Amino acid sequence: MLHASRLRRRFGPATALDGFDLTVTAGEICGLIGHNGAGKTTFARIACGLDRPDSGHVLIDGADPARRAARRLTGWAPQEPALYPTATVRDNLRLYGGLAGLHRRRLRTEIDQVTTAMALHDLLDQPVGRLSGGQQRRVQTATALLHRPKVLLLDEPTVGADPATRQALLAAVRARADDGAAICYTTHYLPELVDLDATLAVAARGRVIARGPRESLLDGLPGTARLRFDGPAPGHRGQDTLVITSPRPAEAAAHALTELGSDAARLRGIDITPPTLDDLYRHLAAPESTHAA
Amino acid sequence: MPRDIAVIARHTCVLLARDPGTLIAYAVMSSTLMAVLHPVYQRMAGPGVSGATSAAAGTAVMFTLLALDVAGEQILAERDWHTWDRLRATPARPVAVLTGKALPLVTVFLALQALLFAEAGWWYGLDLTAGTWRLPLLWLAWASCATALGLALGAWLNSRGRLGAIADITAMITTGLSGALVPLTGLPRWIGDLAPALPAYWAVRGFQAALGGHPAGAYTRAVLAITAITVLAGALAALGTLRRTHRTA
Repeated sequence: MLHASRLRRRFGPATALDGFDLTVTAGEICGLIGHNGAGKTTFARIACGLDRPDSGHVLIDGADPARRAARRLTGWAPQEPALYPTATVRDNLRLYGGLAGLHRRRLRTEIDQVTTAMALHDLLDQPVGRLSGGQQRRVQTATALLHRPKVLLLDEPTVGADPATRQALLAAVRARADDGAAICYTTHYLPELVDLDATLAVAARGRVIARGPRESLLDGLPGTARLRFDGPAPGHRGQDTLVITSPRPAEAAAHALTELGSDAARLRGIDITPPTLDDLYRHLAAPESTHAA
Repeated sequence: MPRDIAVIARHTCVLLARDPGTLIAYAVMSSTLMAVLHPVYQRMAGPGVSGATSAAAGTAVMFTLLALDVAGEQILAERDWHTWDRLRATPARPVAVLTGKALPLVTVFLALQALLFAEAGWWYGLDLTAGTWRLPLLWLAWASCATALGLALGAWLNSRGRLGAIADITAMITTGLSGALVPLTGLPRWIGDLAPALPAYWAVRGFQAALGGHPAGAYTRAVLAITAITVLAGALAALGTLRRTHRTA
């Protein structure tokens, strides 16, 4: 559905994209993560047809994003709010819905559904400029979801959202994926990608350096097991916690328990922390970033 | 494309209606100024031109030009609000966006002129029927010209401050040198030589011709000159918009 191949884009001396490859299939949510400057926004602008790569190409359902046919299939919510502050939420939705080809009853129905799903219904007749930052983000995401595009590009849509509205927004995004949309979801809040059951693409220095399901990318990364004792941990003077780092922390903790002997009576608790997306992010992106610096 | 134009025109109407202060101010100010200046125009009226015609034409031209910033604002605000890229990412073509923005502005400028001429007819005895179809056609031509000029300014300038300053300065200088504020007969000769280079001159001359104060052919020449300026300004607006499109890309 969304296919980017060997994208390169330079802005003067700076290289924004340097062989960026990414494919997102129908029904998939791809969490695109990476440091600022990794190339995520440049990729999104090219995928929306706002910019042209120096080389490589993007296809939206087989079409060039610069073509009208491809634009009808794409929904984009950029990082910074891009709404008309003096117009109401309804006016903003009418504009973007109308330009996406929705009219009359269908437009009203879609506005009703998307604002209900995103807890915006009570704000429909409020000028956007009077809304909080988090509410404006939700309106922006609603303008992208409104016409049920086949490809969605969402850039940090939950920034500033409270937990309840964040859950509503994530549920609405998940529902669009279940309807068959290919979604590229950029965020720095990595737990959201678990909630969305997203696959991952890690971007650094203008290319995707890791791509796949979360489980396979996390496989092999070290987690930790922490064994807390009443008094010093065995073999650790002055520290009451024994920290074990292992790709399989639960198995490592079980093995350690068998070797505790009489110290087992002083054991007060065990914490098992499997590898997280944060660990993956640090493991993959940090060395690249350091290298870039 | 007509549907995209209609959607954007409707949205532009919403934006104008949500922030009508400037337009209301221009309507009130122009109406008041015409009332104040009418006796002056009456005394300075040239041969074959009534004071009411000069007052209505001069005030309408001056305040339509002062409202150039309202038109330019429709382009510049898109950049301040970061909405220009959102529009570009939709299936709407740039020409549809520009046309959709222009149509409500043309209507507003047309209404402003109609209001002033109606006031001149009501209070100062201006015979509007003398203009027949020529007067509304000229309102439309001049409204289109002012819209195109305003959109061109918005497309080429980079800040609202600059737009306001340049629109106001342009309006005042053009109005002063074209005979809209003070009839050319009361101004130095060199200004009369310079005036045909200004769009406002052709608007004033066209209004006077439409209402019977100028020889045959003057009206046609005025409409043609205004139309040519409109086409040029429209092309500049389109070029500026495309330039902005490529620069933001």
